[in-house]
Amino acid sequence: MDDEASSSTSQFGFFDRFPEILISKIFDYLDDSDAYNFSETCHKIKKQFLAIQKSKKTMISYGTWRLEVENQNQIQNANPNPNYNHFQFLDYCQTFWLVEVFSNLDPQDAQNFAMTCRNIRTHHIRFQRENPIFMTIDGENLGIPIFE
Amino acid sequence: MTDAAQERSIKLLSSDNETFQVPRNVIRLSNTINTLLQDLGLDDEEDAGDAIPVQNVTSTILKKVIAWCQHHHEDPVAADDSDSREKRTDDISSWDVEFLKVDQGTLFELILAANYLDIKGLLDVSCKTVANMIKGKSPEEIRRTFNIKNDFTPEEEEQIRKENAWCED
Repeated sequence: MDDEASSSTSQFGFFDRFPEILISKIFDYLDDSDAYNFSETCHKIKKQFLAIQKSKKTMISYGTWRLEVENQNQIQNANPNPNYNHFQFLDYCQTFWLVEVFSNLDPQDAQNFAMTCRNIRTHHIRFQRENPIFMTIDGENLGIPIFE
Repeated sequence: MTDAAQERSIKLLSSDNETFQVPRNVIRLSNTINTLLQDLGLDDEEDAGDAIPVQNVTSTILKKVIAWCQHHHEDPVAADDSDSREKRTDDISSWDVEFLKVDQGTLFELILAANYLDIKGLLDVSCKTVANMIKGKSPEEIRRTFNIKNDFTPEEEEQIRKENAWCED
């Protein structure tokens, strides 16, 4: 159906009574970019999008991630293996999820996390650009962003 | 299903009380009807008797659903649609494209009917059509296309935009 046909029914709220399970089916056919745009339209669709991500384990809560890393560290400590990659777990994570990680870390922890691998460091630098910490003197913001 | 069962007709009753006589081998595309007939032991009966009520589906929509099944009843059975397989939307047949050139209200009702009657092919192609109407559009354009009310606060919208911009880097 073209846009002309759709505009003729502009008073009809197509997704107002659309079952949630079928919204998931629409998402099946959208690539990442289109899926994000669709998810930005309203709460109902955003909620369904988050549920899909959760079910596909592409978005993992910060707490879950910390627990997983601790578990993996314990395994690593018990069975040292030089080839073991602590951050294989991050392969499951979408890039945007790292924003949540950095948002929950104080600058020192964020710095430590960023030093773990090139991939995470790159995202930390981007995060700092998006969320700069400004240099201050006696609490006065000098407007100069601090980058490592 | 026996050959005799394939040749006979089934009566369907729409929500607005219109009866449709449909060849059994056409309506076999509906898993809901298949299950119903099998569970009631009517699949091998010469005469299935009373019309099967198809609640929630009006005569206008049921007529279209039957037309779709009529056109596709000889299609080969599609392979299992696993999650790992790429979901394409550019493989809609020209007949289906024409069939689905309907107003949004009808498209919406067709999707609900396909879901209720469990007609996988029709559900797939109608959802693909909706996906094609979403593709390449900004959130605002999608809202306009489907008359979606923006219920995000400006702050929420800004936050989501930031998250998604990050993802698209």
